[in-house]
Amino acid sequence: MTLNQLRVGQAGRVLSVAPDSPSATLLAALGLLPGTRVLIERLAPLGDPISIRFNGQEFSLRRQDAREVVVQREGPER
Amino acid sequence: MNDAPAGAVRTSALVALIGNPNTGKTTLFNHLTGLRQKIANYPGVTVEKKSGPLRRAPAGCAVEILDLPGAYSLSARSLDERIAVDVLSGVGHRRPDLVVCVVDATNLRRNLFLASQVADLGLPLVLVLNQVDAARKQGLRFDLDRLEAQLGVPVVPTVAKRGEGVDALIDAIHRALREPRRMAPIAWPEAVLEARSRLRAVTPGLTDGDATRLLFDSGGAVARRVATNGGGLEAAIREGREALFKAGLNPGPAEAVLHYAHLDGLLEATIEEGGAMGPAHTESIDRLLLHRCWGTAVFLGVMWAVFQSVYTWSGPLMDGIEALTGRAQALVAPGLAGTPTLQSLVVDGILGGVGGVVVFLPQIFLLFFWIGLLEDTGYMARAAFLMDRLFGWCGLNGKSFVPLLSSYACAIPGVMAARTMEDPKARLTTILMAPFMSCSARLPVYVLLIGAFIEPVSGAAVAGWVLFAMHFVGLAVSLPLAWFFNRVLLRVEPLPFILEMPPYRAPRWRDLLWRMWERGQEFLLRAGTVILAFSVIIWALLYFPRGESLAARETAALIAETAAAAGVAPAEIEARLADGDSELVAALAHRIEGAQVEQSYLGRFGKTVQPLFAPAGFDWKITVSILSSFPAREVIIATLGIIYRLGPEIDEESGSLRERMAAERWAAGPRAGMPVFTIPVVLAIMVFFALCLQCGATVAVIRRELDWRWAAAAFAGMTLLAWIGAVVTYQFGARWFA
Ligand SMILES: Nc1nc2c(ncn2[C@@H]2O[C@H](COP(=O)(O)OP(=O)(O)O)[C@@H](O)[C@H]2O)c(=O)[nH]1
Repeated sequence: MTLNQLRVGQAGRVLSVAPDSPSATLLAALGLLPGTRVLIERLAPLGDPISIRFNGQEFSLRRQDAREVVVQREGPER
Repeated sequence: MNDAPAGAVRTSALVALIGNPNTGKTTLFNHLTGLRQKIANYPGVTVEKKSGPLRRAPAGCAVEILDLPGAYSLSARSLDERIAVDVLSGVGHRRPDLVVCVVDATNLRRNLFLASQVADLGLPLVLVLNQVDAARKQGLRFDLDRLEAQLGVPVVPTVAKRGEGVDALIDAIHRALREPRRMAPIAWPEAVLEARSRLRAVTPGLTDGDATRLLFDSGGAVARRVATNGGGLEAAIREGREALFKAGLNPGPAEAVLHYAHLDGLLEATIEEGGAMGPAHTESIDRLLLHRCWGTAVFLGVMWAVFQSVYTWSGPLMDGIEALTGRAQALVAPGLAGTPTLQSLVVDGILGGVGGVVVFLPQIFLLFFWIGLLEDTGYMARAAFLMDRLFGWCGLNGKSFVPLLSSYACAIPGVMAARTMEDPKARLTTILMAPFMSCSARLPVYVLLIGAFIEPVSGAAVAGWVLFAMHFVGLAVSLPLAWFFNRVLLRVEPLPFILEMPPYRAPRWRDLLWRMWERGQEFLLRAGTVILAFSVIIWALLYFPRGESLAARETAALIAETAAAAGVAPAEIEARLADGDSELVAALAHRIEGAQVEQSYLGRFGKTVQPLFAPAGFDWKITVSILSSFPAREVIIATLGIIYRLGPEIDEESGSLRERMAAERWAAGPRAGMPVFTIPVVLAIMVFFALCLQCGATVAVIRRELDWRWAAAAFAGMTLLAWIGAVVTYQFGARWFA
């Protein structure tokens, strides 16, 4: 599944990101690499963009950008 | 490379300051340069270039600090990042001798990614570990000696907010200029090295660092720079990326993966996490401020305050400036009475023009105060998050909200406020949309026309609704237009809109006021000169040519008319005029003024082009009034006053102006004897005002923020649109009300 398919409060682990996608490249530069755990923090009032948390930082991004990141759903943090 | 050999004496040095957004780079830059900064634009683009001399330079060596735009990485495609790459590679500019990279200590690993990319370009570094106070609060401890040893470059801890560590940083810069040190190089895998040497083989003059950028960042700055070198390069890039793929490296995130792996090795055992939590208050504030209902409510409240301050609270200050201008004009006028042309030039052209520039300052100051506050506290990112959906569909983004909202008060601060937007296409769209928002200068026109023609016929309720609706005409036209151009015609791929939600912070008032002051100053110097030139040109078009026999003709006409109306002998009126009867003298002055405007260059032009405006139902008087209000739309009221021989000192509430306009009849043509101002004509005039860029100051600011071609295109496009709007309104209206 992709990052935009996770619900609010759900977490996932990045499996891979699209090559040649500017948004995925920027996210990777920010540290969202394969293996990174990411949490969907909240949605904007109109459902888009979403805000995500990883490596202790929070970013807002559009769903369309979040589609470029493939994740595997994870349980809540132990 | 232009590194001086170690120990050699330099006479000048260039130090580039770089860092992620929000790390405290600007604060640090202010500390390093004092207040002696120069602000200019990078050649050909509108990205701001800030530089200044180092406050305490080594003896005999002038050190220039260049503040690069904040960026997360060198690989993204925004203009800012491209400029950073070009400057660091020494394109169009002297190559920096040293790079000072500011990193946020609370997020060291991510911040070092940029430093690592810079290092790979072959530049010596000094690392500034800023915000160590915040890091300490979060329980982070750094083994600085080990960090320095591992990274291989000097590391200086600072608290820029309080100026702590700045002296040590200056010392470190001095030392690094004598003995430049480079960061521990990344060990690129074989596939990268091979691809790089292949790229260098087909492109003469390419450095290793540039080759890396080219390989990982095929649409980036280096690619643009060498794009003309032919097809061999593109093939080499493609092959290189394929080779990476075969070696198990996805070329998209590969650069980040490799840098982060490199950094993880270097950072080992340098940071100790004390177990304290991150900035927890931020999360609880966000729970309120980003809440679906409460968050939206707070947002609306904040924006209401921003709007009120620009729209209403700036009023007294603007009135004060206008009063001062009037005072200055009254003071100067008598001294120049001997030379009427010079008097008019100085009083109306120059003083009026200067006043017309300065009057915008309160709005610019107030808006930039708010923007500074919203950005410094971290709320701006939240506002953009809340609003992005509303704007994203037509090529804008969440950051368009503040510029567009403030344009409802005045497009000038609005256009300038678009600087907070990183995405150049979205910024362009926002700037071009700003003048469509119904600014406060349009209000008097609406009030005059609605009050004079709609309210008496349809009542106050309808008048109120029409006034309300007029405020959305520009928005309703420009949003679909933006959508059409961005999404249909140009099919612009939106840049990723990825925005950091920084922790909430208390603002730094001194920096905030300083930035506000900077904006005002910039407006005065850069846009002010153009606005002044406009106003002198329009003054000349209205002042020349002088009608020599005007005064005699108008005097005779006035005497004849008044005498006939009162049923007395003309000689009696003549005597009263000679005695200085104040009513007659004023009437005469207004007549002469009106006649002068009518036969001025602008008046003649208006009469000539009137047929062009006939499909909108405008007569020549309306046409001239509209033409004269191109430099500033609110001028139309004064021009109408002059043209209807009432003098320029009337306002939109003036009863006599309303009466004169209502009484105005077509003198000739098919509608001879019919009223000029019918409801369709009135609506057409208002639509014209809603859509037209009748504001020299806005044109000047657009030229300043984009370039003169965009300014000219915006002006021409909006004028055409206004004409179409007015014609359509009139033609529909004339059938509807027939
Ligand atoms: N806690 C803390 N905050 C800082 C420090 N330096 C800057 N700031 C704050 O960080 C914010 C961003 O600073 P600014 O200089 O505008 O950062 P820039 O975006 O990198 O240019 C401002 O609110 C500063 O007051 C510091 O050393 N410690």
